[in-house]
Amino acid sequence: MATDVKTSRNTTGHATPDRWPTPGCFDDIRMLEIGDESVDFCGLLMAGEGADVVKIEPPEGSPSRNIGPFLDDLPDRNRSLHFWTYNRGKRSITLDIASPEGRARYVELVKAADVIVDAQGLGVMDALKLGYNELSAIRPGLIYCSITPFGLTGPWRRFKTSDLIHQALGGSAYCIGYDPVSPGKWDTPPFMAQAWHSFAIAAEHAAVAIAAAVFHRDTSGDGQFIDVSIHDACAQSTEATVSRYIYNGRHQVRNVPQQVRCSDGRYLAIVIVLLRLANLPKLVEMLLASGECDELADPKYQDPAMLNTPAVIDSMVPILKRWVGKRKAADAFHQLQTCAVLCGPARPPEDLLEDPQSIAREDFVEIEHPELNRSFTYPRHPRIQTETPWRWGPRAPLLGEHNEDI
Amino acid sequence: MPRQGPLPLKGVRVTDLTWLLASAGTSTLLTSLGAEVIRIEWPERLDFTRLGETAGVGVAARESNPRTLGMGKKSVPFAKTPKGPPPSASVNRSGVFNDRNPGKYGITLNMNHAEGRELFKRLLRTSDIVMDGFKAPMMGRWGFDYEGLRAVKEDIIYMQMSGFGNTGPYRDYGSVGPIAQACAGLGFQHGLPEPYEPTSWNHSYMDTTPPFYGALALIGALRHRNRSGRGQYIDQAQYQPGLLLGGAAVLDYRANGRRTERYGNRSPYKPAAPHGIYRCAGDDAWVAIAAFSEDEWHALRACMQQPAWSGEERFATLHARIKHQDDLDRLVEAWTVDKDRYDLMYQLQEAGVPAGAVQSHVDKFEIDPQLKVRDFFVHLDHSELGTWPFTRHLTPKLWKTPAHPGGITQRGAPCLGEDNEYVYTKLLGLSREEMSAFQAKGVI
Repeated sequence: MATDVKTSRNTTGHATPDRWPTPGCFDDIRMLEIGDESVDFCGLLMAGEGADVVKIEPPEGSPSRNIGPFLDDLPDRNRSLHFWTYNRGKRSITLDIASPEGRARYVELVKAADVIVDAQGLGVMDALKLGYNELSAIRPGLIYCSITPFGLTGPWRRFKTSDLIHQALGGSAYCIGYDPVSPGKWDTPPFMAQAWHSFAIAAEHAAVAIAAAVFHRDTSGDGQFIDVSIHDACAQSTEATVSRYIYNGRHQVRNVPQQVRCSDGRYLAIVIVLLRLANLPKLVEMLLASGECDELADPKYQDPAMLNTPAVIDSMVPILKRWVGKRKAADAFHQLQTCAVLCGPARPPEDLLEDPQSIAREDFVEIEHPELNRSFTYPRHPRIQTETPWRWGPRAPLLGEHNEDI
Repeated sequence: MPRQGPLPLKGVRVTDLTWLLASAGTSTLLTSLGAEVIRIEWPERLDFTRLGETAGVGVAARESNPRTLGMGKKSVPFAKTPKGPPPSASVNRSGVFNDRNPGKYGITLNMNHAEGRELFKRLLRTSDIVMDGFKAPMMGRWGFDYEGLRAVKEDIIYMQMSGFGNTGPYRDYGSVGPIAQACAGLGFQHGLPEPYEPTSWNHSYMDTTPPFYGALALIGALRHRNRSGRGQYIDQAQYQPGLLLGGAAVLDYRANGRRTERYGNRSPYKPAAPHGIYRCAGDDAWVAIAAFSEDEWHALRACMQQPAWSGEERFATLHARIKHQDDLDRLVEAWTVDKDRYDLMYQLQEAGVPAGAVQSHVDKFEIDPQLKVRDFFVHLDHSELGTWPFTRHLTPKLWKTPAHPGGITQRGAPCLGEDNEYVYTKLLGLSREEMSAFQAKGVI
């Protein structure tokens, strides 16, 4: 059915995707990936689930090899930490798709592929006569996933974009920023979420769609075309902001979520609107025991029925915030969570390296870079599972590393 | 628009103990793809998104509601937004719940009752997947941790979606979207450098993102089961997809010793200038502009009608523009500030400059012509609320097996216990008398 004999074999001495010790859900699937930085994350997700992802690169390398930061801040096609982050578990071959030889090579690869993910841009592969129509005739059952900024249809489909532009149009930037100086007036602009989220969001939609298409092909034998619009995906990513408006005319305001600056300069995020779900008697007891919250000796905080009313809960908030501000964020986090207060420290990603939960769940892993004779620290997985654990490596391929293998 | 074509997960049955947004959103993705999702609820411990506000019944209510009437013209200043109506008495009239749970079947089942747990086992025996969104220890208290579930159905796929996962010192801790995005190191990255505070998102990004990781894992696990005969246990903690979403930060720290800093709307790693969000005419109106190449810069200059400053040496190269980008941002904003954000976007795009209006939730629904052409919103009936527009949860267009928010029921979210009869009599084969007896005992 879906499986082709794989010709790839290990030449560099480290693990290759087809020699991973545990099974992967999609380890019989070969996926070709071609495009700019908007395609990388989809391949990362599918490689993690076991697919043999082959990155097709132009001779000078994919554009995302030029995105920093770089190892030792030395720009080089094989030293982009951005590229390393999003291209683990893949193999790389180079070809000039516009040349007759490159084209022939690509067609040969397609004949042994199950899925193509194409982010070359609207109409680029069609113009080369290497689009879905041509390739599905060569390779029956092919799943062809097109990722474009706005999809194949619509008045904006030829717009030029970037991560920033997508976050503006998609609605996330509208919800990121500082408090208004007066209702409806801001002295700071909306902000984008940093770390390439628009492409991650589109990749998440694309990967689920590809998985569903593969599942459908398992029983029907049918391939299909998938039209992914980065804008559609981003527009969907703003939680219930749209539905609250549709149903109630309610508006999401742009401001900083509830958080308290702690004694160590870190912020503790607290979901104040859900404080009613906390173990309030235990919280009152703990705050009182600190000797810093004597107001809570008032009878209204001692009677569980009175304590559970909105006005009394509201009156606790400034007391709670004051208590939090005198502590380190991590300390306040643990103490409040034992009282079922929904809270968590707003911290940079590197702090997770020392986090007890991430250590216990083995959230990070060292991956070898044999050509540098070094290993580097990467996130290991997006979840834990028993049968088909996520494949975190091997490290991103060097440019054209697998030209001979494939 | 009715769905067309087969749904890829047709025939897959999911026993769904999820709730709120992240876990319920995961089973909703499976619903969109055609799985039969049976959501279990119990009135004494309601999903509190059921208790939301509603404007009334159906789109007619929407159209006569003064707060949404005529809002298509331009975005509405926040200051004029009135407060919502009081929460409705019915548990079936929440818009957020409806939008988050379309296409599912809904039953009531008391898991705290021994006979309820026996009924649960009967449902389990006919299911492919069981999933929940409780704190990690909850299912184990009912005897339904993974081993307990496997004892009933050997090849069951069980996915647990708790805040911090089923292992580790935070196993008992609670989480919702804003907490997961803080703890995973994501929210810290947005906004201006110290001494400004991190802004995070003001919506629950980590409620809309984890469902995709959960759904990908579940479709994969179904495939693995079909190939190997083996089910599995999946511990999909809400924070954990955040590990992949933090970009190169951890690698940069370990390899280069660089700690994460915020840099506003700038683009240090894919050089561009200008690269920012600029004030436009009107209240809270903004446009994003990015110029990566010389061509894009010169096109922007042409749009601005070649002001003298733009020809100065300090803006002559990308390197120079980046060096002087504080000045550049001020000068660009002086040009945008009295212009309409959409007019600017169309003018700049016409000239080949990446640009986009900052769109709100209102703009996406009322204005965005692209989403309209893409059928981003589809209408579904809800048994008590009438017909409403729904956002597509899974946006890609699968040409042969299109996903649809209405799934196999082609209906909005279930009312509480709406499908008791279908599930208990048709699927589990109870008689009416048996159902009545269970109802009388507080089991269903």
